[in-house]
Amino acid sequence: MNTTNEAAPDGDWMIEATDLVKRYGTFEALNGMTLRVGRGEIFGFLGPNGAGKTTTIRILTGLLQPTSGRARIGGHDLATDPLAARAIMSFIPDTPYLYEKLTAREYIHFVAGLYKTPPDIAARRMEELLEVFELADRADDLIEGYSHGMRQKTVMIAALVHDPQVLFLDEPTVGLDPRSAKLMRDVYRQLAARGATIFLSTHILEIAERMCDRIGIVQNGKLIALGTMDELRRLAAQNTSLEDIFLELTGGAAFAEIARVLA
Amino acid sequence: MSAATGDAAVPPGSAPRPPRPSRPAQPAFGWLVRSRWWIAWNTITRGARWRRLTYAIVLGGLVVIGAAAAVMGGFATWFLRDFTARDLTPEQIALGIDARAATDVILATSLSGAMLLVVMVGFTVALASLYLARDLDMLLVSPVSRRAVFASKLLGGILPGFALVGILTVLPLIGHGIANDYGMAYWSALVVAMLLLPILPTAFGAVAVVLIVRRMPAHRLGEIVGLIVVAMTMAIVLLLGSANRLQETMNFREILDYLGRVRHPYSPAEWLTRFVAAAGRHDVRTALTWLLINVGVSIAALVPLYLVSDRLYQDGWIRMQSANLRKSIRRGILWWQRPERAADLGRPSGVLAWLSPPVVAVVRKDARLLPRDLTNSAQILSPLAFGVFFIVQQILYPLRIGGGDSGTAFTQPVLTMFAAFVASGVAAMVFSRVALTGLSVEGKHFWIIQSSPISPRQLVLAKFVVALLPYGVLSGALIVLFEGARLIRTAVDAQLSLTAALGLVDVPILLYAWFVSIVVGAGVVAVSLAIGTARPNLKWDSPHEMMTPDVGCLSIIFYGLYAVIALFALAVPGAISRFPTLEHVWLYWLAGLTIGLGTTAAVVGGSLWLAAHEVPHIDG
Repeated sequence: MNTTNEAAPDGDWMIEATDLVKRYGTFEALNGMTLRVGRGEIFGFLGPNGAGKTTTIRILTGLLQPTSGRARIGGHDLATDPLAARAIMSFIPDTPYLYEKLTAREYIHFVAGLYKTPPDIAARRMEELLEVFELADRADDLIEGYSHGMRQKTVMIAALVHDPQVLFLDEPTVGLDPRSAKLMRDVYRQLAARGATIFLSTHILEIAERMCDRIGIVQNGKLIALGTMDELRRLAAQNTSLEDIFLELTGGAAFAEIARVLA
Repeated sequence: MSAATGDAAVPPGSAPRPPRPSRPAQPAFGWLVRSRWWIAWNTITRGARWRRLTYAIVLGGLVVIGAAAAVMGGFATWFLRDFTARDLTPEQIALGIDARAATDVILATSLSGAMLLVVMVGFTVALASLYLARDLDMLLVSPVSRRAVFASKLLGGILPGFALVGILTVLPLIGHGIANDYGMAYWSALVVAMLLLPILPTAFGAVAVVLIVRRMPAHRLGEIVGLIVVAMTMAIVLLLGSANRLQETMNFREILDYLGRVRHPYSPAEWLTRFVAAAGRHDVRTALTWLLINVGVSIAALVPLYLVSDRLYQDGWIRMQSANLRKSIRRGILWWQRPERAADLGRPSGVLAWLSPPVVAVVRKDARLLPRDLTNSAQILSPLAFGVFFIVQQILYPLRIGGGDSGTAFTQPVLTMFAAFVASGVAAMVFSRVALTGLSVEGKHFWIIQSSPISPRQLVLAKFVVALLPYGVLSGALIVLFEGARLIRTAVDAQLSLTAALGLVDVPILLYAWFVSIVVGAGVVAVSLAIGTARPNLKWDSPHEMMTPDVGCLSIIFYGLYAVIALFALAVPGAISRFPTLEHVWLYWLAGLTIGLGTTAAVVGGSLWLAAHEVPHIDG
């Protein structure tokens, strides 16, 4: 299996995970995860439930400390220089828990303050993004009255205000209507074209197939495949779609058995 | 198809039968109640060790309080009976008037108190159980009758609260029964009365809740009810605080008559009192009459509850789900909350200009969040009851030293420093909680802080400022209010003009008192912050769950210990500074400031370092 990074662009790694191990008691959630993502790359991170995707993202965003191994963002080690690493990245979780009693404008200004974004620049970018995401007329309402999609948009705007170099997305289109989902995909592509690195975890294989430059498939806390769509197709020669490749690599036979029982 | 292929055999021409349930269907109500008790049992028996320890401590405390209540109930009855017996004339004795009847006031007071508590608990619990429980979505879409959900939720919610109220009521009445030598009839009637007591207030509480929720969102109602309960608690605290003063103005007979006012003929608690008292005195006819009245009224209350529950409950629930949740920020007296001030969150300015943008962002974020959630307000309002009580005390019964004039230059600093002591205590109770829950308040949103470039030191500093700034404002305001109240009384007593009264104010001592209060506040807030950061609880849904009892107790022990040392060291020099015969006053100042400021510096520095050290270990 190809789990190396020969195909990465320029050798300018923005995300580096080296031998990451995370144990919860005797359970090993990550078992030597190693991967690298280059500047301007959109990287898809796939895997079945419980494979270690969220643990990996939480370690790479500084939300969780690994049991062993090293993680670097833009060359900054998360263990020794976490603030520099966090200053250049943003994280958009699948369930956007936000301060219910703040308005979207207040929340975005709050995040801008955390990232030391100059207030005038933050205000200008925020207003532009509020317009783009069609949230401007509700931006002074408390977040507690927002739908899931509006919360996602709020997190997205707050994440973009400080112009991050690395963006981590966990299930980025969950709860969004098709129009908003398309808008977000376009925004990600533009960001990548401007040199930002995007690391996205998703269950929607179509999104990964259409958007990602490279895809990593994780199972049992380990990367079992890594490469472009063409490389993955070669790896599982008889399959053509990413869904087929995914099922083949992660034990599709089990799914077939479940389908047979339910039928 | 044949059975050999594995398919179920269906006779030709007949419709397929529905599958048989694997177990007999159980009544939904019983099933739901049992499920709730399983959950409660598992929470206690399978919880963390510290949680079980907390339950054991609470249970032990209840036993002690209960035993004390039983002894007090018995003693009060014995004393009252003895007192009344001495008052009875021979004619009254000849008429068969029993001194025991006079002790019914204890019965009436206990049952009325219990009923008041059930009303307070009942409404809140009914609201929480019927509309705010997290499993309602699942239950109301399941094929279980809505009436069963309604009844089981109400019962499951009200029982724990009533059990507590019941225990605290029954125990003094056990003492009352023993002291009166009552027999089995009394004990049986007491059991029946305790079973009947919660029905009426619970039924009315539940009906009131389902009716109000038709007009008002349940969450907002919950917040308002929280504030009302706090206000009622404050009123009770004030009433109890003034109770000892009654002795100065009323004799025992008048106090007895005063307490007897709870025996209102239309009060359900009075009906229960008459039933139990008659049973105790073996007056079967009276007892049966009042029993029938009580049972009749309870049934009459339950029937409409049962009838309206089905329709109104579902109706209220649907309204709550479809309520317009769009909420804008209103213009209020809190100017920093206004929409046009949103940009301030990322901009150091004003009194926060010396801080870095991430620290200012967290401080201003918390300054917006805390006042907007009325549930937080309800919790921090409770200690303010003591402040209000002290102000009222200063006006009604001002502090005096040796019974003399409270306004001399000699005694003024002592009383001012005492005011600082009380102000520090009240402000500490309010803002130690804010500091203690400083990290926990982030809850499920902690990922926002954790993934951002704010250092642990900056985060701890922000949380320190969030608690200390309002602490300084509150303690300063309280000192001024306490001194003002005492000054008003002094001026009225001495018939002084306003100018003359203001001339009594020792401004330097007043400012020093505020300084002492702020210094001590810094230590209290830092200690609370360190403990709260070492044991944060980020998994909460209601702000009530942010702080666990063990953390609360630990913080009171530690900050209490520190505050006593620092307050004493800093306040004594100020208090004695105007003593005319005292020599080498500067030595007292030197010693006091050295010990007070030194201890505070060590406590603040150590606590903030410890808190900053703990932050990276918090898994959000």
